[in-house]
Amino acid sequence: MASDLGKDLISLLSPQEVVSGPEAAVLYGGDSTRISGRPEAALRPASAESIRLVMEYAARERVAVTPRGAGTGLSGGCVPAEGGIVVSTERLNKIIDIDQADLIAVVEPGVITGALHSAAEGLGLFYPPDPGSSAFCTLGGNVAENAGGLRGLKYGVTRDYVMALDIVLPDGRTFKAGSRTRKNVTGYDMARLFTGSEGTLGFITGAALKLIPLPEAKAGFLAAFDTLEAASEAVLMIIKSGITPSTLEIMDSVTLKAVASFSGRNDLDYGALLLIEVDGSEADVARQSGRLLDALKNSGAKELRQAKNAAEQEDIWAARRSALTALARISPSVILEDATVPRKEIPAMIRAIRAIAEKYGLLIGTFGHAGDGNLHPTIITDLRIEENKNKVKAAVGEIFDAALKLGGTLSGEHGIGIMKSDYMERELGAAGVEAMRKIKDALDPQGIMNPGKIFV
Amino acid sequence: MSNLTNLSSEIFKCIRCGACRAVCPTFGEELSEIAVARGRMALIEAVMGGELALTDAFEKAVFNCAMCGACKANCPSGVDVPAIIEAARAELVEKKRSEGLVRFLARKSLKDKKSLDRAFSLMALGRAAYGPLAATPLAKYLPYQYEDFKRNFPKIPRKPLSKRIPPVSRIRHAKGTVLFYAGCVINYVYPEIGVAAVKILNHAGYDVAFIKEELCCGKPLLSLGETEAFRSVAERNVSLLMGVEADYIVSACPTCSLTLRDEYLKILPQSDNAAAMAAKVRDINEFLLHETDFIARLDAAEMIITYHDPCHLAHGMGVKKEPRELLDAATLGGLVEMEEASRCCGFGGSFSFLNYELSGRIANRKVKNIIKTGAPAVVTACPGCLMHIGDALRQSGADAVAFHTLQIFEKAIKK
Repeated sequence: MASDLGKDLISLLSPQEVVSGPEAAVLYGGDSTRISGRPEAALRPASAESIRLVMEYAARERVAVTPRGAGTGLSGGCVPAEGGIVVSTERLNKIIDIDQADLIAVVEPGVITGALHSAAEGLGLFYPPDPGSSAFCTLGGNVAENAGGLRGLKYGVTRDYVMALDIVLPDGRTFKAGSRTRKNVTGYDMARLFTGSEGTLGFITGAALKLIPLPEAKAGFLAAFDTLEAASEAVLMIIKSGITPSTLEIMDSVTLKAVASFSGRNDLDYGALLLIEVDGSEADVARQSGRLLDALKNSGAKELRQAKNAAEQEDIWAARRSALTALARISPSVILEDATVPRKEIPAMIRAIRAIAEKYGLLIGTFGHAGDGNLHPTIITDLRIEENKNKVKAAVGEIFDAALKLGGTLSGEHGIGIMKSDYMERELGAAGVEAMRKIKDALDPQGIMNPGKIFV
Repeated sequence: MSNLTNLSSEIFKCIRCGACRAVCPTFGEELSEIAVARGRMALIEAVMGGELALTDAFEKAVFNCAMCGACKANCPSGVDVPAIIEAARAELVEKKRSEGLVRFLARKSLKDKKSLDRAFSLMALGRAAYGPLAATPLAKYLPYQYEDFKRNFPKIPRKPLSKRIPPVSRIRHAKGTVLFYAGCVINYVYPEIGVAAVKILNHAGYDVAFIKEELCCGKPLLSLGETEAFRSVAERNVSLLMGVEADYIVSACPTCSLTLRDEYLKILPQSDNAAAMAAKVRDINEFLLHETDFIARLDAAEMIITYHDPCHLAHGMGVKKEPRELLDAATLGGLVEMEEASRCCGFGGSFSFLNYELSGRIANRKVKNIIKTGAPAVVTACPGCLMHIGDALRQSGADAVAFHTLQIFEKAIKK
């Protein structure tokens, strides 16, 4: 820690809010990409007011500030690319209110997503966004990255649940973006602008999130196919049958083999698997289940299973939940991508990923949210070997190109961060990137808010 | 750095996903990256890379871990965090030579039977002298002031288990012989649980052998980074335990079971005896359910209970359903699951002596979860958890009482 900066921050905040010693930079420098920067200081503020004080100070001293939730991101979003101050929200973990009349949860940014799930469900309410890391990621991070998850197809993503945000601007001034009302056309939709802004426009110190009534029933299904193509065709048939499953997940044979060997299961020897859940009222679930089963029967599914009880439901989802774990056990490095394509291009995207894997001799397991076109091609390798680094870089570039060619996007839910900034122009063109850049410059003229992200 | 370099591939496997934050008991209290497995891994890697020295803060981070193994059990990449932490501690012991009261006492008292006996008699004396005063305002005037002074420690009986049971407890038509390994806490603090174990194992159809001279399993030494002292205890225990003819070696302390089964193999990789011994080791719940028809020999007692998973049993040995099935059969009221049943109670052996304040906060979370179930009794399968949860329950003034699974089974044995 630069001594002046350290002293200044200690006098600005309470000593407990400043992480001391050379350990701070190591602890608060990285995230799940394993990319890691070295901040000059790391803070754990105990209040939104402390964050405001820090921003005011940073603006005056022109020091970079990088907001950090739980550091679980997959794009390097909370990595302090240019040093400066990392501000972790881990202590701001209170659910302030769950309003059962307005159907709104008011939360501090460091609340764990799963904690809001349980709190809401305890009251018969539902907060649908559920990123894979929901047991340990934070809502502040979810909003900043516009996190998605398994329920995107029917329920949308974090963006669809953000009502209002408490913002500290890069100059230290504060305002509330959005409101607790469903309708609000007072000027620009600033809550949406800050959602998914990756901490580059301001610091989110609180959020009001929309809740919905908890669906009363759900039903789970597993459908096995000989080929990945057949499974991805089945996805389209399900959607065309007029129902919207709450989750519709796909797993390829590489992933299935990994899961089988990891969990000692012998019931996963297929080309591909679809895992499907429908929810709603009892009657609606029955209706959707009927249509779903018809669609699956016509799709040539080799095997079809419906969970008869909670234990069987659990058994079906256990395979999907252990997908990443099982793949990660094969080799020490895991690169989890999230290129996303329009749903009808899933078969083409899957073929493209296969070809890329073959071309570079890389092991790529593909699983993901087939229902919304958000696949997770997962490269399993050992990045300690230099040659692998180059292969991975080239393969990832080709995966992006394939997604873009099919009308898709670089990132469905992980964000651009450091990982994908090189590729922004391929999707947006020079004009698109420049338009974003102008917004960034207008709100953060000094460039102190999470620098080194999104833009090259 | 050799302690750590051997594990460099293991350390590299941590992808920094943060999944350990959801289950780490110290993180749950401190909410700080320095108190979670991922942070500890980052610090250890920085030390290995030469970026960070063996600072005091590093030492604190590495010793501030309860070694519950929840991180390892829930890690997507299966990183063996406890092994890495142990190696880092050994490195610190070697290079930094930090000394403290707990370390000094552990090294001196766990090394042989005589020292063990002496240490626990002293503890019994101390408990008798200080115990009644500990909860009173007079406590602060006592000459010995230690962080965990207010610990509500059970009375240590005069007669340890080794003076209560014979070398072999025989029955007619035995199916085989079980060597019962008591471990220090049962031997000295809860001998009645050891007596129950013998009764239960007999009832399940086995002769029970017991070695009066058994040593501490050595886990506290391993946890404190005292590798050489641990190796010596392991070697002597292997020859002691293999010197008795037995089909199984059974313990009612999961920390001992895990150490005998897995840790000796690691420290004595060349020893055929250690491997042969490991193959015979079972936790007593695991043994009763899988190797005997004990469950059919139970008369359910009228009782409502909740169950706490000991870390070394659930995360270390993967034994979760066995005690539950047995308890379900042993009680009429049945088992009410608590929230976070497999979250550490905060004991962690030497951890609670080094960090009593933090370990107490972890225990309070456990107490809250116990109270929420409304069950009047919490049952666990580890004497360490029993001691610590009992302490926390008494200090919080809760009505619930803590038991070892064997104390429940003992009540339910068919007459």
